[in-house]
Amino acid sequence: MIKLVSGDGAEFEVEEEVAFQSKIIKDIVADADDVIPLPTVSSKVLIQVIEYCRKHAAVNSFPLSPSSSAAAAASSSSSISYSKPVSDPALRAWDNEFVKLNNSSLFDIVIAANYLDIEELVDLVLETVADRIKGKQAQEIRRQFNIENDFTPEEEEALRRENSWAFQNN
Amino acid sequence: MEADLIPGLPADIALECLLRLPFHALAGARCVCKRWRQKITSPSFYGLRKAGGHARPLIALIQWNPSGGPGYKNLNLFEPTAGVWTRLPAVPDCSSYCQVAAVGHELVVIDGGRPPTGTVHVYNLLTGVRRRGATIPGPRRTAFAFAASAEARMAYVAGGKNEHGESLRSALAYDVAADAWVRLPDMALSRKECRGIFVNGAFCVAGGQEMYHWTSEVFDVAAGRWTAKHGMLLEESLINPFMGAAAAAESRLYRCGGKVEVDVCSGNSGEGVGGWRRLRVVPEKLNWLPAQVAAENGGVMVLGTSLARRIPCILEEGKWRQVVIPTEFAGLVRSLCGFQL
Repeated sequence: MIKLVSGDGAEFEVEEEVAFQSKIIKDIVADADDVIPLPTVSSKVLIQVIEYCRKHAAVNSFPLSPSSSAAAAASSSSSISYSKPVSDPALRAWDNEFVKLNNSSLFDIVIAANYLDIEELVDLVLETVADRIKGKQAQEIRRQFNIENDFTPEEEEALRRENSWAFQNN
Repeated sequence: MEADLIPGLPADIALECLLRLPFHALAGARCVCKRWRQKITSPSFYGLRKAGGHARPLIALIQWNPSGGPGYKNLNLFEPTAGVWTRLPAVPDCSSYCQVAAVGHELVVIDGGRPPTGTVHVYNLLTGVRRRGATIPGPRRTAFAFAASAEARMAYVAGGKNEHGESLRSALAYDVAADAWVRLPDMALSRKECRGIFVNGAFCVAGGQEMYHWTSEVFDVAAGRWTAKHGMLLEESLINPFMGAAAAAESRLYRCGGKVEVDVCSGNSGEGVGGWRRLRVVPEKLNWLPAQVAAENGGVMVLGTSLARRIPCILEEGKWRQVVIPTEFAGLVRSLCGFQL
């Protein structure tokens, strides 16, 4: 067991395979003791990150659906290099539920996951944020992400003209 | 202090979100604020997308506008992963003989019309801006071979015929960044109605001689010269514009040979003409003659004719998937290319 200590002093005992979803923790454990202080991660965020790691550690050692290992093998042999979606449908569904959070909670998680070097979790959150940007008008994106519109009215008018040809069909 | 790209996120993580946006989301994202605009339109954005593995396959098509009449051409983009079609600004003065090729994050549209004008348009897909490129120098040519190299940021033109109908041996390269044409050595043979493809650092030109007599020659960019045989490429009818079509992606070559099959050839030569391997038979319910092929990163899109309409299919990892074309994008395809952005 490995003990993780959040920035606000809460302690969490987790199994190695759960903690080792984080490459940083794996490296630290290799040449240090088993109590790992994570001063920049709050207990609220650490609970969520551990929940994610626990799920993924379990699925990675015991695939949920029999086809998933074959699918993973197939996808690694293909030359398609864009984001490698989690191949297990049940795990993907779980991931989709996991990210149903507001933006600021998601941001806290991705900052922690980036710090802990949990690549799959970083990917998952970034894809989720990208999904929340796409298919929206600029005004809606600004509102959702609290971004200030720093274009002058003249510049905005020019942008509208520039994009007036954009014609899309889903 | 400079405002955040996304408030609440460190700049590098916020940029990672923007890098993951699909092409059709970029036009809207450019208009959010100046910082987003600056990131998305900067030349490094494309390089970062590629390096991070976030580039997605795209197919550019020059199509007749079904409602605009034959004189009116559209440049459209199709994103196979998202199934989204986007229309770019219409190609001005574009004849039926326009060809399109992708050079990195830009599309080069070149006119080969009758009468030929040699007009070049460059579409920057990140800024959304179209600019006029330098006109093809030399004789006004039509029916020439055209292909582009994303790595070298060059587009290549060879052969064709001049306004008197005489076939040409000359070849040229267009440096997209410098907006300049460079003369290449002449081909060994003059070729009109020829076809071009770029694969493995070489511009391959096929056909264009006596009817039903199909040969090819290849311009090796690094060596700077033409060779008559390339070993792997182009037996008869491969790039015969009346019979079939071919496309290249990541040193693999695809052909849809006239009827119902798609073959792949790993470009790492030495395999000769016999290096073709049957990939898949095109679904039989469709009439696939003639077909056009656009390859993109592990998948290949084939356009087949069914009565007056073209029905595209995408072959991905050994399975066919038929693509839905909205009516506005159903116009006859004149030229297409696959690339990554």
